[in-house]
Amino acid sequence: MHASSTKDMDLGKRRIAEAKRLMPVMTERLDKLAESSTLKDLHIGSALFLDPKSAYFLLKLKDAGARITALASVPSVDKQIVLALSDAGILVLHDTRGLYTPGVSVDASDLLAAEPDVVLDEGGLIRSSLKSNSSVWGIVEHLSTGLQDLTTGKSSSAPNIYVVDLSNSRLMQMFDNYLGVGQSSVMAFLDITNLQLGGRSVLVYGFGDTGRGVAKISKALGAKVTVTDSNPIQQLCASFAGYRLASMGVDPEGMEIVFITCDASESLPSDWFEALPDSASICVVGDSGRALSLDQLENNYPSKTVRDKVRQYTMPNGHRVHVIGAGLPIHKVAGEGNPIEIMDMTFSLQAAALKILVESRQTKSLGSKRSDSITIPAEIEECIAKRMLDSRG
Amino acid sequence: MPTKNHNQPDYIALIEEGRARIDWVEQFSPVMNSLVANTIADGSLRGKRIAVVVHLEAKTAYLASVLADAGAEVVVAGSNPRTTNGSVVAALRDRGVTVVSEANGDMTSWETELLAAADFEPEYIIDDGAELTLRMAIHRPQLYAKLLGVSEETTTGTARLCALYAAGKLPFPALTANDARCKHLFDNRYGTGQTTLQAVLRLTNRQIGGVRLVVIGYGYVGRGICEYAAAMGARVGVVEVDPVRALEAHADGHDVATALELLADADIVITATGGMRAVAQPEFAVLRDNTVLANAGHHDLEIDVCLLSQIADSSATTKANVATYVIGDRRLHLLSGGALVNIAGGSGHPVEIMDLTFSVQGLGAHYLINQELEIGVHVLPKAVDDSIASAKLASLGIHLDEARAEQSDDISSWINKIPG
Repeated sequence: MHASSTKDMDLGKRRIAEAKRLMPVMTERLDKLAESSTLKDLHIGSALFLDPKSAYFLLKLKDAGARITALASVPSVDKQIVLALSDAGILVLHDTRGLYTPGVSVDASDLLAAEPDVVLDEGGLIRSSLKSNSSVWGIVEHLSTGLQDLTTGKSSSAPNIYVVDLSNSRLMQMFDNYLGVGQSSVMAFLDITNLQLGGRSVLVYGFGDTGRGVAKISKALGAKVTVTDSNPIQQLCASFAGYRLASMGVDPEGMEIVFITCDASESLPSDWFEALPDSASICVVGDSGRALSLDQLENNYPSKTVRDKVRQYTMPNGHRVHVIGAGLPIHKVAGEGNPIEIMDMTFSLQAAALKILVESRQTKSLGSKRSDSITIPAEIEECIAKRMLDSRG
Repeated sequence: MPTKNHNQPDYIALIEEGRARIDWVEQFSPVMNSLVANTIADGSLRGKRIAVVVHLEAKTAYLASVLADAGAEVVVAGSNPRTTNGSVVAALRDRGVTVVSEANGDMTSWETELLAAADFEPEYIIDDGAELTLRMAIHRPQLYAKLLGVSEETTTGTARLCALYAAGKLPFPALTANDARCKHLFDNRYGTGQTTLQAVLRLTNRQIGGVRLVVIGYGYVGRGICEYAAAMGARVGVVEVDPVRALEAHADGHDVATALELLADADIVITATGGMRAVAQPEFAVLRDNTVLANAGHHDLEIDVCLLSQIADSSATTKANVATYVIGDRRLHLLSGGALVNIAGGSGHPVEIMDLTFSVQGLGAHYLINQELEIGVHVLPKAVDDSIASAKLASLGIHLDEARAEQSDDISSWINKIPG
């Protein structure tokens, strides 16, 4: 190994060790799993976004007796982490060419080729590639986008799979999505652009949990926030929270920064982009699936990269529109994703989900319909919340 | 020294990166682009030697470019060795501006750079912390005597210039950009406030909701940090020695107490005093395990880093800009070596904020050159300050009312009724 690689590996290990110290709840939960041998010899395939926190989680799963294969999907190639994980005996499938290289060389099929038993999925990335002869018998999915596909029947080729759905978890909704993604997305936008939020007109497109989080942090930093959502209840929530409302599909006139928090690829016509003011920015928040169609922009308007992670499209009226982070979830494009404390809870949930998967298979308690998924019981969530409170004194 | 061979692909790429950074700044600088560029294009800057000594990244480079476009001979130096950006240096040199600083310098190379800027024999200085002014006074007294004016950026530098004047050692007029309302109301409060939190959260990857954040110093910088942090969900404590400011912090909804009371259960401590050693021996003694320390003030020694490295059992760099010091069973995490965290550990102030600040500096330099001022420390005239705010408002399409005569106070009618 080159000296520089050794240095990178050491830095990776140190960063993972730092994450460990701030994730006491997950540590305790996995120590218990290790004692019970629940995960012994289980081959876990991970599609999780790789950073020091998820790396530590995977190492703890390995300590608990599992075998791990990790897919470093495109926005998550972090050389230091990859080297540290590989050194610790975790197989990492990765594309070394970096973030914006077209034609990714690793994808879901590479992970499935390693024949894992269960998969920690992100947004249905792995599940949507499952074949009927796959080795996989269990999935933990923590994003609602992944499960939308599930209920539309795309998994019909693999009916006998146990799925634990974390997207309905209150801990996921209130902490990971609302607090975590809300804070880290807005801060990532500011880090990438070096712009100011105070006094700016911000449009939050979609008022789910991540939308509420982004709206709250934007307002805290002085932005004038407008919310758009197709659901009248969400609109009412936004109105009572003190945000202006705009109808979906109406021209975003005067909106300087747009955070897209839902699937908007179908609902944003060219006119919509052309109505943005000059120098407007668009970011995608959270793993909202097909939030934005970049092809639509690339095919219709002259474009160039004007700054690291900023692509500029010139509209026919001369207005410059900036897409930040190539339409990928912005909090994963800059920095290290969600805050540590939040991920302590999220990975505690993942650990609980793995235990449920293994136990469900042992007792053969598969749901009555193939699209049924298992929800984390409320008492486990409360237990995690209580431990979290203890750890905060 | 990096290569300056313009035919090398790496160097050309570096220039282009720097240029793209500066272009991005131009795109969000309506006041510099209109009011400032038009005002200083009157020929009065032509041939004037101006030293620009501010954190050397894209926004400073744009100020230097606008001054050079108006005909000034500009020399640029960084005001802190940690904050100089190599691509911006390359782009500035490529357009013919003299730059005496290099990226990745240290305190020794920085001193050499400042003397090189002094030897350029500037007539005017746009200074940050009065760093070049002080070095010229001490090391280049003959050139110091020939200086025609200084425009100063920071609170710290303004205090230093006033001290020089009080000691009878300021032989020229100085302008304090910091005291212009378009500077400190926005730059110190909103600019430093937003970007300090950005840098702290990015470097630590911590969640702000529920965090116990203690800010030492409740000037404009401290206020901005506290206001944003509280709105984002932090529990904010303030340490302040000035009773009026402390009362203001209390009324703003923050917990006010002594450093020793607040620091014992702090998660994140940010210094914003503009002085030195706000966190030193007594404060280190009470900090608990895992506390994050960051500085938002001018001095690298607001957190006594020298002392920290002496009393620590060990220290290690966890990742870039994060050093962990172990004292007994406690670990303290120091961000950016105690330098200004928003600049050394982030990308500096927001572009829009620096549009205002550098408009104050650009028009300040123009004012120094065109007005006969007495020796001393002056504030930019209100009319110039107002013109900057008006230009910014106009760029936003915001129009203001004019006060009607009937709306003013009726004191004159009372005065007329007073006999005699």
